Amino acid sequence: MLRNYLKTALRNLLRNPLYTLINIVGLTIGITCSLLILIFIKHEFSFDRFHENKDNLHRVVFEMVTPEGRTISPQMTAPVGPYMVEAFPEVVRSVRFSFREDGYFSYQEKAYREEGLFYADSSLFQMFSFELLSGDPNTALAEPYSVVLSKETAMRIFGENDPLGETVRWNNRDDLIVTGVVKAPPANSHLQFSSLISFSSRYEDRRYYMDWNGGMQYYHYLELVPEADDAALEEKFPDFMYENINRLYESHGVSINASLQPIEKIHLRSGFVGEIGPTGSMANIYIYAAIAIFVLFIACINFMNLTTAMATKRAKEVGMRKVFGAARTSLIRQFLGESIVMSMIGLVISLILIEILLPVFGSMASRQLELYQWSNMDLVLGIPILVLLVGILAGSYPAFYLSAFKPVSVLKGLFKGQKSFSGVRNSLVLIQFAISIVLIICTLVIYAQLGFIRSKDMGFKHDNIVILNFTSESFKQNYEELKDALSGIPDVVSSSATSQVPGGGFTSNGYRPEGYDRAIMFNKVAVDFDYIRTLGLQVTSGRDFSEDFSTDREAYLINEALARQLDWQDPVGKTIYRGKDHMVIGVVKDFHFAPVHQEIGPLIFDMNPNLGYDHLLVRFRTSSLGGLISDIQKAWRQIDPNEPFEYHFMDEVFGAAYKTEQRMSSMLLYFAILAILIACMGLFGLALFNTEQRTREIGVRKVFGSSVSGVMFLISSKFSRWVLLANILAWPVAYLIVRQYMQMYAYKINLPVWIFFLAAAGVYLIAIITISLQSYRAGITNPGDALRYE
Amino acid sequence: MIQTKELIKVFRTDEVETTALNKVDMDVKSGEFVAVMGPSGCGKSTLLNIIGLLDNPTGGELYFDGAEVSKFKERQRTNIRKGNIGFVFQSFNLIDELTVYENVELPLLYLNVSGSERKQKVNEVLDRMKISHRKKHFPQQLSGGQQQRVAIARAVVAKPKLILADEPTGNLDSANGEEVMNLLTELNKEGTTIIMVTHSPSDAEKAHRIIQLFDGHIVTENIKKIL
Repeated sequence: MLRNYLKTALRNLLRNPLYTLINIVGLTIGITCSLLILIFIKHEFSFDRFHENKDNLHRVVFEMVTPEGRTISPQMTAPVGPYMVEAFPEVVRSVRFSFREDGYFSYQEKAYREEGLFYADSSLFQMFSFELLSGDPNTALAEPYSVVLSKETAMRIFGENDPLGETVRWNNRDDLIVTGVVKAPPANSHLQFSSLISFSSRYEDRRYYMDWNGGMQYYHYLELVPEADDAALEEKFPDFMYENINRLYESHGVSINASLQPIEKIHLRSGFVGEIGPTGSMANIYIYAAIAIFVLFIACINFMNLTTAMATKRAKEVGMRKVFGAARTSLIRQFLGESIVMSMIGLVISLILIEILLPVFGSMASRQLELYQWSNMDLVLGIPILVLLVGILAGSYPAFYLSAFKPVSVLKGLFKGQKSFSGVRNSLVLIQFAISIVLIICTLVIYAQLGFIRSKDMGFKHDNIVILNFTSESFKQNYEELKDALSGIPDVVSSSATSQVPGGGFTSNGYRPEGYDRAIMFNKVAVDFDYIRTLGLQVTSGRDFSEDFSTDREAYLINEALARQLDWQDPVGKTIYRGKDHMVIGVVKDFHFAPVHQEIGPLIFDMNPNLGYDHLLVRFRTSSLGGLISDIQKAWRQIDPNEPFEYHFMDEVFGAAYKTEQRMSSMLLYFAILAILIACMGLFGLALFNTEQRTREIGVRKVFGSSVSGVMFLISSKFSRWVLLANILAWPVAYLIVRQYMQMYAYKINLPVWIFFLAAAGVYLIAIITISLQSYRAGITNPGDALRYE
Repeated sequence: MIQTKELIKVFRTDEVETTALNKVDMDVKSGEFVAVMGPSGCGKSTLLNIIGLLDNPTGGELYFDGAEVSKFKERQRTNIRKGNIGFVFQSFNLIDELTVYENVELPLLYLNVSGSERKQKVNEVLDRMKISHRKKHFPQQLSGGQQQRVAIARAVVAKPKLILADEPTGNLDSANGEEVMNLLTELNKEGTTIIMVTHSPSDAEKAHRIIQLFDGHIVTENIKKIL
């Protein structure tokens, strides 16, 4: 019997190649998109699950409450972790991480660039399941100035030789003994590091403040005893925090609350201020999941529509099978089987496509995605079930519809044009187009918003600026020499040393402004005398830093946002306390130093970089970049030939801040195009079928004088009504989604109504073109042929 | 074998009510060959569909082998149809996607007959209908006469007690029509009961008796021959 079903199914498919093609292509696109997204979602949920100890591992998260508001961050001062181990019997051990550093190792007078280095405690290899390839996991990071190199770095520096016991120099400052080699963390670890320096080294370096009330820059991870009650432990945190830090801040109205975050939740449920690395987000997961479901659903609708439309061609088969003894259930099984076979064909093609597309999709999503790996076994085994479900979803309606044919009706030819079913088909087309329109509107709004951000006046000139990064002391101490050398290059307009590059936001500190009895958190950037000029900022009152005033090294510039926040009408001459009083000598016009999502915050410019300046911003005026860069490099080499020369353009830095949105919008665009494509294929199929069904009617109409355009109108009008109705359904949904999305931005476009109309017009046009292809053919058919055919 | 008592069939649409059969009483004995004649729209095919359990009557009673079946559900009707009733249609109604062999095999599949037995039975009946040489062909590759021979083969392969033929020669030329009628007569002689709807007086002549229908009534029962 099965063979009989299969034969009939295959012959039916081959007899109607166009419908088959539309169905299979639609299902293939649907299955491919949803599998790609499923692999991505699976990857996102797999983060940090590889640690053997994962159930006992937590990160400490801190909520800082100030009179101005609250911020949540995983960063805190250095003593927290070890103090918690001391204070709570439930805490077995802790590991601290510094923030990420980029720099270079030198070995035997050669420099090796290193990106993503961290300082970490020695308990790291006992707590986490990172693989130490050589060295003792208990002691590798114990002694100050020991380093565990990444496998890749060890290979670069030492080749096949054993690096253990060798000495390398970090940023031309610290000599480190190599005590281990570590394998790169798996792609699904939120902790991504290259080499690791022992955290104890920080205590040896007098530049770092390692006590409770300063240097909020460390990440704390705890291992709890297996039977620990997380909630009960958290209840003890307020007393602990008060005892150690909050009592110092109490008078300022500031308190810091600690809480535990299970390690598996860090990747998707964080996005706090000062994350240790890029995180994912549940919002993205929901968006992608919705897209996957939508695209698959659209493909299933196509299948349902075309199959039920084609049903009249199979009515005789159904009727005869019933006459000769087929029960309805056996027919349902037959038709479900057919749709499952179709989706299986779709799956086979999808698996080939996924092999090709997964790397592309992975790079768009900034993830290393793989399907065939051990941790994806459940997914791989689950795929046939998914396809089975798709087959059942797509095939159930046609199966019930077809199997319901009464043999008597078939014999009488009464199955044609069953109105209730064509109503269902039209409703399904309506849903397809509504989904496509929602996707298009969302994509267009994201594009418009990104365009707005890109073209938004940032308040300073960020083009034609090269950023040079200082890693070693030689530059931090001798940056003025470099500036002098650069000033000799004709195309260099000016240069300025700074602690942080604008674009990603600045660090913040507590300051006590004149007239206030408590400290307030303000953003801060350390600059030199040429900063305002180099960035093209404007001083709106007072004056810029000047070498003519020896006291300026202790003075502050503030931005307008800060003056507004403090309600200072005339800030020049007022003082701000941090260690001592600092005089405000000028107010700088607001500019976007953080991504445009955020409102411009209060900012202090000072001339005191705690650990020296980290960057030099060089403004230039040439189009011959090659010559300029090589001139800058020559000047660089004069200061320190060993430090690797690294440069970026500020425009790139700004672009990077919007990478996530750009990625999201291009993905959305691709998926929206695919959704429309599938929907249009379905529409084309239906139009084709409709035309075939109405061949005789068209012939008769033409005999009695209808023109080609009249026939086209006849066929198109029916579908255009549904496409227009789809807009009415889609607009409110799209509006709600878009409004939610826009809340992410402090500066945003006014919700553009034209986008709604553009999406409507676009979809309508595409639909009409699709239908017209078919209706034109019907229109130009010789009426005699049409009637003879019938 | 078949008995109807005051059989009524009414078709209703929103605005029109049509009585296709109006209190039809008839009795067909096992082994009989009955022809049903009458003008278009008199209810011949409706009667055949109801007797063939393809449709339920609106009123009255229908007995098949002594059992009252008029109120049967679709599943029960299917079970009786399977193996007991064979159908032959004017327009053949072969499944285009199946070959001659597969079309004939169909009723046996629904009777769960084993593969080897199916093969034997199908080949036997194809030989008998002299269409074996075409068994791998699809219906569209055959002439009308050949298609109707296949349809008859399909109708008789499960050795049903009753064959219902709805204008079996209506789409055939006279030579092929003659051949089909000879086949039906032969099957009847072997014991199969046949009820045939026809417009052709010469075909009806081959039956034992002719029932005349007019506007849903039986107007004459012309008993031609006695069993």
